[in-house]
Parts: sequence; C-alpha cells; structure tokens
Amino acid sequence: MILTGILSVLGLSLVFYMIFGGADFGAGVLEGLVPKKLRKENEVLVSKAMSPVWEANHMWIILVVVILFNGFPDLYSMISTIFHIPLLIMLFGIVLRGCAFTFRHYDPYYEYGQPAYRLTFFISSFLAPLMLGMIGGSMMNHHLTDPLSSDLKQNFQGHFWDLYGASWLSGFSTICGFILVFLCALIASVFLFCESTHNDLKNMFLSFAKWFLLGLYALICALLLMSWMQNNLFYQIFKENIALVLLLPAWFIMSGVLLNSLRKNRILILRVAVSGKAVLISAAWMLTQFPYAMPGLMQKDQKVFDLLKHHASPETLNQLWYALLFGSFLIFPALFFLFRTFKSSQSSL
Amino acid sequence: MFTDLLAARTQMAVSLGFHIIFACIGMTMPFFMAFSHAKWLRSKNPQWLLLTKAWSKGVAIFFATGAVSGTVLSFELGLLWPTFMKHAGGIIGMPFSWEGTAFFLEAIALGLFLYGWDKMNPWLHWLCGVLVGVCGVLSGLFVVCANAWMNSPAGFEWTGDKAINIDPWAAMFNPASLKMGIHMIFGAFQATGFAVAGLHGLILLKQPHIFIHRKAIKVSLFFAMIFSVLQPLSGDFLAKQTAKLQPLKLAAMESHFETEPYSGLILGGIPDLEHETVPWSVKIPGLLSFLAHGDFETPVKGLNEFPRDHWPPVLPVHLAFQVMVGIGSLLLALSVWFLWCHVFKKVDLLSQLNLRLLVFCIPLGFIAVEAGWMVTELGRQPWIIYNVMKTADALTPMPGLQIPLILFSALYLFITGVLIWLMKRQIKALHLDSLSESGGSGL
Repeated sequence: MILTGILSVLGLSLVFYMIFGGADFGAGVLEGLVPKKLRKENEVLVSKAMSPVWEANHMWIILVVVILFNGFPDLYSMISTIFHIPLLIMLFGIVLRGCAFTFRHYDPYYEYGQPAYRLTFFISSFLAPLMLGMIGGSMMNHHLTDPLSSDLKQNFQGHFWDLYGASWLSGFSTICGFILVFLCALIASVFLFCESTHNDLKNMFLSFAKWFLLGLYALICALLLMSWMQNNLFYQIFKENIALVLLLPAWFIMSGVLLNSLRKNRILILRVAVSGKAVLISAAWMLTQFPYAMPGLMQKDQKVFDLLKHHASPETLNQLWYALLFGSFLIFPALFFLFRTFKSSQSSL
Repeated sequence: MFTDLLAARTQMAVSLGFHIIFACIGMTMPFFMAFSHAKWLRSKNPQWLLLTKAWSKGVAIFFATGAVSGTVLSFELGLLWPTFMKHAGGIIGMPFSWEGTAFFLEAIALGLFLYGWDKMNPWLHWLCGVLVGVCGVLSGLFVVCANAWMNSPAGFEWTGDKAINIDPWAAMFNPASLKMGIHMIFGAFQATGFAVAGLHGLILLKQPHIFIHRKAIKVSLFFAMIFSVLQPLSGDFLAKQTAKLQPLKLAAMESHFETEPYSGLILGGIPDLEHETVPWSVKIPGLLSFLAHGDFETPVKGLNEFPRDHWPPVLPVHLAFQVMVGIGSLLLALSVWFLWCHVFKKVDLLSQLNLRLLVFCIPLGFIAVEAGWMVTELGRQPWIIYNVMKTADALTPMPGLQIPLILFSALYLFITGVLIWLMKRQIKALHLDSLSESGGSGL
C-alpha cells in the first residue's frame, strides 16, 4: 500500500508539473509568437500571472526527482546516464528561463535589454519541454539489454552515439517532444485567456488555443501512424492496453468541452478542461511505464524495471511515504492559499 | 591531463560554488528584510518601507538564481555520479525530501510576500517574509545533513557492492549533521551580513547622509557581528568532531604529517609533501592537540598514519582552511571593533574609516564560505562516501565531460555578469527613489 501511495504521489507530481510548470513554459513559447503591437500588454499579463507562482510551480519536478532517487534509485541512475545530454539541455533551458523572467521583471529600466530577455525567455521555454518530451518519448521506446549490472560501466560499453545519442534522438521522440511543447502552449493560451481582460489579447489567446489544439491532434495522429508503421515498442504496448486506447475518445470529449467553454468564456470549466488535457497525456505516458518503467530495458528478453518489485528497501519507502504525507499536509494548504490570493476573480487582472 | 573524473569534480564544484552564494543570501536576507519590515509596520517611516522593498527585490533576484542553480544540482547528482545515487539514494534521500518540502514552502511564502503587499493582513504578510527565512534555513540544514552523511556515513552496512540494513533516520541524523549544519547557517549569516553592510557602505561613501543606507548597514551589521562571534565556536566544535570522525581530513587541513604528543598548530605555510615540511609557516607547539582533543598532550594523528593513496590533496585543503580561519578571525576582530564603536561611541560606527573597512569586507565572508566547502569536499577525497565508496567509482560512464563543464561554467559566468549589471541598475533606481522619498535631502 505504501508503494502504491508513493507511486500515486509520483504520478500526481508529474501531472501537476505538466499543468503548472507547463503553463509557465507555454507562456514563454507564446511570447515568441505574440504580434509586436500586443507585446507590452502580454508581458504585463504574463508577469502578473506568473510572478507569484512560478517558483512554486517548478517544485513539482524536484519532487519527482527526489521520489525517484529515494524510492527507485536504480531507475534514477539509469535515466540519468542514458539521457545525460537531453537532461543537460533541459537544465540550460530551466536556468535561462528562470533568470530571464526574473531579471526582466526586476530590471527597473524597461527600454534596454528587452529583446535579449524576450528571446532568451522564448528559446529556453521552448527547449526545456522539448527535451522533457523527448526523454519521455524515448523512455517508451528505448532498448537496452542487461541493464542491471551493479557496475554501470558494464552496461554502457559501445559507441558513444548508440549509447547517448540514439537513445533519445529519433523521429518518435521528436514528435513526443513537440507534443509536450504544444501542450504547454495550449495550457498557457487557455490560462492566459482566462486571466486577460484585454479584448485583443483574449482574441489572440483564443486563436493560439485553437491552433495548438489542432497541432496536438496532428502530432498525436502522426505519432500513432508512425508507431503502427514501425510496429515499435510503444505500438505494441498501446494496442494491448485497453486503458490507453480509451484515452483517445476521452481526448475527443475533452476537446469538445474545451472548445465550447472557449466560445462561451466559461473560466472554471476552461481551466479544468485544459488541465484535463494534460492529465490525459500524462496518463497515457504513465500507462506505458506501469508496471515496467522504461519497458525497453530487458534482461534475457524480460522487462526488468518492475516498479512494484525494483525499488528501495522497505525502511526507505516507509520514511519516504511519511515524509510525503507530512509534506502534503503543509504544502497543499499553503498552495491553496497562494492560488486563492492571486488567482481568485477579485484579485485577477 | 584533464580527465573525465576531474571534469566531473570541477563541474560539481563550479555548480556548488555558484549555488552556495545564492543559497546563503536566500537563507538569511529574509531575516534582514523582516527586521526592516517590522520597523516600517511599527513606525510607518517610509524609508523603512523603501529599504524593505529594495531588499526584497534583491532577494527575489538572488532567490530565483539560487532556485534554478539548485535544480541543476539535484539533476547533477545523477548526471555525474549515478553509481553514488544508485547506492546512496535509498539511504540519504530522506533529508532531500525534507529539503524539498522546506524549499517548496519557502517558494510559496516568497510569492506571497513579494506580491501580496496589498492582498492580506499586514502582519500576516510580514509573517510570510519571516517564513521565507525560516524555511530557507531549514532547507539548508536538511541538505547539509546529506553532505554530512557523505563525510560521516551512518545508517547502513556496506557489503562491498551494496548497502543493507538501511536506517534512513540514522543516516540523516549522522554524527556530523548538526555541527556541519549549524556551521553552514552561521557562515551564511556572517557572509551575507558583511556583504550587504559593505555594499550599503560603498554607496554611503559616495552619497553620505542617506537614511536608508545608514539603517541598512546597522541592520545587516547586527546580524553579521552576532554570527561572527558564534562562528569560531561552531568551527571549534566541528574541528573537534573532524578529529574524531575524519582524522585524515584534519591532518590535511593542518598540514600535520607526524603523529606526536604536543602536536603543534601550523599557521599559514605551503606544505611540501616530498619533504613533509611546511615552509613559510608558524608552528605553535601543543596548540593543535589542545584544539582537537582538549589537552596539550594527546597526539593528533598525522598524515603518515594513513596510506598515501588515501590522502586528500593536502595543498588546496590546507590553504583553503587557512583562508577560511584567517577570514573568520579577521571578521571576528572587526565585529568586536564595530561593537566597541557602537557601544562607546568614541568612534562613529559609520565613520569614513569604518565604511572603508566594511567595503573591504564585502567579499570576505563569501570567500570564507567557498573556502570552507573546499576544505570539506576536497578533504573528503578520494572518497565520495568516506571510507566506503571512492569518487572515481561513482562517476558516470559517459565520456566527454569536459564539454558540459565548459558549457555550464560559461553559463554561470554569463549569469554572474548579468547579475552585476542588474544590481547596478537596481542601486541606481534605489538612490533615485530614496532621494524622491526624502524630498531630495536623503534624510
């Protein structure tokens, strides 16, 4: 039961990062697309919407990392080795994004340095989710045999490109990366649509939301088509998992709710619907990773990382679970107070 | 030759060295801010509000940089040392989860404080600011527990290739945790206090009689002086413990080669490993024995008690230790001087001489913090888990680590440059605000 609880918190943290961290990344991506005449208004809106909450939003990925290395250290060390390069690029994105956003906000002289801040914010906000999506996609498809040697060096004998390049760079993973970027942009478009009171900005975000939703449909179709043609590992898992297949109609229904709410400006339903989109994509990924994380890791043709068996000691899991429980009692009320203070209709823009 | 191991160690050192500056500021400046904020709430003097808001902008900038560099570190543990994390993750993960909770609360409290000025009860808003500091200190203490464990491993048995009988509580509350944690927190207050006081002193030298800078110096110096007095005491406790738990590290710190009664304390000097001497030093007989064990006679273990291939790099460890203690002693002496000026008022605390002394002190506390971390990290080599796992055995198998080292170093250099540029603009804007707030007189 404790293991189930920990896995649930891990999954929940990932979903929250997709929604809240994703909104932050998406806002940066949108900045590169906003027409010049609306840039100033958009910057003011993004600044007021994101400034109080962005640092808290990005704590969810730290929580994911901590749960992984505490509860599933073998898996964590394997991910850290195989995906070293995209993780590095992602970190560059995270550092530059946070610095560009904060430095711009606190620069007392607006007129100087804005193009540099904007470009840095846009590129870094694009790179980070792209890399994260590519890692997520590769985790569904990457093959490595006999990965459970206690000496990692034994697992990683071979050509550099095969081990550290081909592991994450593929057509499949690239589409997954863009799916995440488009999802972040969609979440941001909808959230900012809800926050904005400026008509031109609202229309712009409405347009963005529709285009990114359309783009997501195109990317998901491309992913499924490619997987079917290649008969890859993802397709093999997908076709045998009814829960995964059922996510497709759920996606259609959620899209209908989203578009209808955009048309009628129903703020609460909009936020729930777009969050639901993030939940569906996260759920799809998590279903491919359960119970075998990175299902392409094999030992004697058997999948090795069974999350229900391959984990830290019971004493460690006990402490981790109680730490997560105690932390939740503190964090969730504090988060509720934070969002209520800044996101209620009275205090919104 | 710049091997992958050296590149990985250097990258970790650069990342930690960069992050620790912002972590120190993020842990301690909220308390300075809370002090001036309380003064504003009680007195309604707008200069206190101006100071609080000016400091909060600095805190926001440094906190954000610290947060993203901390994110890098949490990933770098796995990127550079996956074998270490594979074995240690399940043992020492608990303080990281506590640190994550504390930092999460800190981030929430900071958002509420920075942007909630007109959105809640004023004293609740003030409490948010205090919570930023409290949670910051807690997260610092928790993460130092993890490093303390690397130096003083506990809570498991090592079979040779894996850990068994894991006790996460014993690991977190290992013998070194509390003393190392306290030493770090005291150092953070000392470094930030002197840096902030010095920065305001620099401005005051150019623009005298500005109320806001005079008050800023007094608030930050108050914290700096208290912790400058406490820090040597904490250091003494920690050194005594190092003598017990990591005698080889202490021997390297002191460049102490031979185990002998009445072991002498070596001040300064450059150790010569070939001849086992320390030229350019002063040796005080018996004092090392007294400091390490409480009496002049008990021998302190020398480097020669240990196999040569287990020695840490003695030269940098010794020099870093001398720098840290030297600066700590200087700041202690200056604190006593400043206190004398404040109490007896024969010399103005904010005289030209004292302001120049403060300006001189701006970087010293941070240099001491960096030197201290060099002592403990370099002094632990060649081990990543002391006497259990060697650093070389924990390294990632991925080659070419020189490239990420160059890229991250360039990134941190670039961010440092932008920060300096941004702080200059902040100070210029603050000066204009303080003049307009005071009707042009600055008072």
